[in-house]
Formats: sequence, structure tokens, C-alpha cells
Amino acid sequence: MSEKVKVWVDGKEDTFFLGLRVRHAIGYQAVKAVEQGRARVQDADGNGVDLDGALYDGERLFVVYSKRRPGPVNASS
Amino acid sequence: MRRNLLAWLVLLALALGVVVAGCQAPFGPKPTATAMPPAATASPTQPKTETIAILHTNDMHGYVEPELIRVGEKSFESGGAANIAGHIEAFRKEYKGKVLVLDGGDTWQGTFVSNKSRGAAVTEMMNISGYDAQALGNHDFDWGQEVLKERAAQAKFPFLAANVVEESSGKVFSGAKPYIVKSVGSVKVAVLGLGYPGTSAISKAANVKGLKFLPGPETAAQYIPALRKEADLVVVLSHLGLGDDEKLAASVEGIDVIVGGHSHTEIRNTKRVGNTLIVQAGSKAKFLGRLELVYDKEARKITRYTTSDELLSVVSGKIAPDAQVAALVTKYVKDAQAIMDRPLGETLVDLEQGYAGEFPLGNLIVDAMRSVDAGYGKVADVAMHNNAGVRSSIPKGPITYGQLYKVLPFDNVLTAMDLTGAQIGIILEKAVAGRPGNMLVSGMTYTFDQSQPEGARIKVALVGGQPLDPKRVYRVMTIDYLAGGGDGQVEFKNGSNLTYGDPTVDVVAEYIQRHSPVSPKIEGRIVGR
Repeated sequence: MSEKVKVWVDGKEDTFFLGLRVRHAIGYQAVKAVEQGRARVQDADGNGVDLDGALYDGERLFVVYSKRRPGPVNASS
Repeated sequence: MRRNLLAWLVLLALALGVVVAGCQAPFGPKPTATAMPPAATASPTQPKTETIAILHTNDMHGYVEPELIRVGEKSFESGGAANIAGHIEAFRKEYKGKVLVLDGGDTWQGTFVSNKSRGAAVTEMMNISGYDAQALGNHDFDWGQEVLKERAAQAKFPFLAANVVEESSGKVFSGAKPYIVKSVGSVKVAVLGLGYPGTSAISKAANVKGLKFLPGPETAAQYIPALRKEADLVVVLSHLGLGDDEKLAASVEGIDVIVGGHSHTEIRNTKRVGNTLIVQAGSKAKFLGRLELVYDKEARKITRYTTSDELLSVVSGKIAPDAQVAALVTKYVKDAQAIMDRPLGETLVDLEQGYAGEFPLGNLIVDAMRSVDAGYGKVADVAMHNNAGVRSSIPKGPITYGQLYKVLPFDNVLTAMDLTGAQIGIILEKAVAGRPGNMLVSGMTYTFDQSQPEGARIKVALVGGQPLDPKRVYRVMTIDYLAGGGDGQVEFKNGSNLTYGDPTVDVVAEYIQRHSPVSPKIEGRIVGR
């Protein structure tokens, strides 16, 4: 099994160590938006994906922003 | 008489049709996907079919308490073990006991409440809910094999991992079984478990010592033919992640359903690859999956299945929570709070949060990081942690775990890797490009001059008192956030031989316990102008 996986975030290809999570791939600002309920992460099929989901080779992630999306009350900033 | 003869002929023709159908391959094509409300299919007037349901969770990560979610001015509670248990009980009644309750692994690690009991809290609750099996996820090895075996002894259901084998014997890991076969109503269901094949690459070496994690498809291909003969339906309970579940479905014949995990994917509409259905229920107990299957016993195939709304959002107030589980959650939360409030040790100085450059609390954290095994039975040459990841202060006096958690609230884990001196130089230059000195260090010092152009600001860098050698490979301990290129530190992504360790907060907590009273100070590790 390769030490690294190839992932696309909003269409942009990037490479990460095996074992890293969605939160590491999408960047700090997007993580903050998800934790505050302003965005969600989806895969290529439109399925929601949690920030702590394990990245896998070939995964395509999209950060979808929405003002009305609910989020945790005590989200860290 | 003629009418009776006609009726017999019709029955005979029907029976022959059934026999022919029964001689077809046991895994026939499924119909076009259609939404299927349970009430419409559970009719007792269809004796040739049996309606069953697979209820499933995965990646619960110890989330036994519900989480408060806000929507504008209002809020509601999502998830929670007592709510999950309430829903399972309701479905058990709805399907007259014809349910299979499965979990896709990574069940215990992730919350203080569960971590402090090493997952016992979650297993106790799953026992009450009557789970039938759990796959072994990579995080289920986080406390080592002995703890895992303790959970196996505690659980009233088996852990399944056909591809986790002992190196010495080649037999399946003694804390797990490869599969089970269970009768659900009149349907015999085989459940084959697959753990994450990359577990040894992303876990602490000591936790997986003596074990091999084999590829999923090869393992499944060995077991499936025999299971197809023994059972009516074959389910793979997988912790491979959605990408590998899809590859498994495409490459191995004879799998009816894959109940997945690892990628934390909320598959609301059942995915189908070839003749295999794939489901996964997000993570952190926010969803309960319910896959209803109508099995034709004579045609020996699934004739209908849930295609949409496969996931039930678990929200407080929808259903009565299980009282027994709710009482357990309350007990475990109370126990955890007591531990949160218990002093780990004492600090003789105020440990203030720092925003740039060196500060005593930062030195304490990176020293703790450099005190533990960095992957080869040795400590790292250098430890690095970003200043911005230190989020609170601790006043002089006793230090509790709760206080320390506020200092390091991001649940980062230690991550060690090889970097050349040249790469470390790039990282340091990045650290002084914006906020001055945004990289705490242990095992090394650096001097910088911000009046110089970017890329030429590091004046002196010493590791163990010796000049940083651009060509030498150093072992560097950092955190997963930086390993992923966080804070713009993308050079970490070019490291190699990466190994993971324990959560940073736990490592610092143990360091404080060992060295109390602590009195870290500024030592001239980072000098800038």
C-alpha cells in the first residue's frame, strides 16, 4: 500500500500521506466554515463526508458553502 | 373436475418456473432501483419472500453523547448512543426481530468519555442494543492488542476481520473471527469482516506488532465461494473505505451487500456496483443505516431493496431513547468529568499562550513530543509544533487534563517523518515569512532576521548544537495537521517514512505527570529581530 494518496479538492489535485483526514485536505478556512455550519463537504456522488473521514486514493471532495447549513454550537474557531 | 385439472396445470407450470429460476446462478441480477417503503413490502401474503433489515453504524469514534447542533436561533441534539439504541429497538419491533445489527469499525477511539474507558463504554452500550458483529477498524488497535482482546471478551458479539492475520501462524487475529453465519428470519446471512489493509502503516508499530493486514479483495475471494454455498446472502462488513469498497465490489463476484466504514461517507441512496449494494452511515453516531432487503427464497435472490433514504438522521426527540443506555451514558460522562478535573501535576510558573516565537508553554509541548518514540525505537532529532495550535494558558498551580485540553483542543496526533536539512530549512523560512517565528522547536535552535527578503531570513539553525546539514536526513516529530501541509507548511508533505503516534494532548499530559512540578522557561531556541 502506497505511503501517499492522490485526492482532488474542488477539482484541484493534491497528494497526502495515508492516514490523513478530510480536514487536512480542504484547508483551515474550509474546516472552520464546516465547523461553524457555513459549509459541508461532499464526495463526487454528492454524499456528505465528515471532516475526520479518512482520505482514500482517487477521492474527489467538494466544499459546498451554504448560509443555512446547521453546525455544532460549540465549534472551535 | 376440469377446473381442478386446470388449476393443477397452472400450479405445475408455476412450480416448474420456480425450479428453473432456482437452478440459475444463486446471485441473480437485481431489479432496477426503486424506493421501497417498508409497509408495502412486509405483507404476510408473500410467503415466498422474506423481508429483513440490516441496521448499521460505523466510525462511531466513542460519540456516546449527542452533539448540540444549531440552526439559526434554534438548536437540536444529533446522535448519541441512547438515541441509536432507541431506534434499533423500534426497528427490531417493526421487522419482528428479523434484523441484523452491524458496525463497520473505528468504534471506540475519539472522545474523552470513551477513551478513558478504553472503549468499554461503547461496547457495553452495543451489548444492550444487541449488535450482531463489528468489523475491526484501524483505530480499534489504538490501545494495543491486549485492550482489543479485552473488548472482544466483553462484547456479546464477535469482532470480524478475515484479513487481519498473525504473522507467525497465518491464522486470523485471535481477537477476531473471519465471519459469522446467522439466520435472520428464514434467511441465512453470512457476514465476512475486513479490516483496513493500511492499518500497520498508520498505527503505532507496537500496537500492531506480529500482525499482517492483507488486501481486502484477495481475502474476500478466498472466503466468498464457500460462504455462498453455506448462506443465502453474503454481506461484507468492511473498514476499507468507500473507494476500496467499490473496487472490492467490482473485482469479487458473489457479494450481495457491503456495509462500509473508514471514509465517514453518508451514503443516503444505496450505491450499487455490479450486483453489489454498498451502504455506509457517516460517522460519530449521527446516522443509523437501515437497508431493507426482500429476499425471494425460491429464486434465491434479492428482489427489492432500499434505494433512497437509507440513512436515518439520529436526532433527540424523534424516538424514546433507550433508558438503560441513557443511564450508562450519564454514568460514564460523570466518571470522565471527574478525571478531567483531576490534577495531572503542577506548574511552578504561569504557562501563558504565546503567539510568536518561543514561550515556556510551547517549549513544554515540543519537549514532550520529542520525549517519545519517533518510529525506530528512538526519539526524534527535532520536534516541531506551530504556535497557532497552542490555544490557551494555564496559571501557576495544579494542571488538570481539562485545562490542557483547552491548550491543545484540535485532537492532533503525533506524526514522525524523515526530512532532510534542506527541507527543514524551507520549513523554518516559511515559519518566519509571516508571523515571526511561527514554529516551536525542541532539539534545535534557529536565528532569523526579518529585515531580509523572504527565503533568506534564517541566519543560523543548529540541531543538537551542530549546524543544520542540508543533505542529512533528520527524524522530525510533528503533528498530523502540519504533515498535511497545514499553516501553509507544504514542505512537510514531501517527507518520508511517516509514522503516527498518540494524541498530542495525551503525550503532553503524560509528560507533565512524569516531570511534575514543571517550570519551563525561555532558553533562546528562537531568536529573531
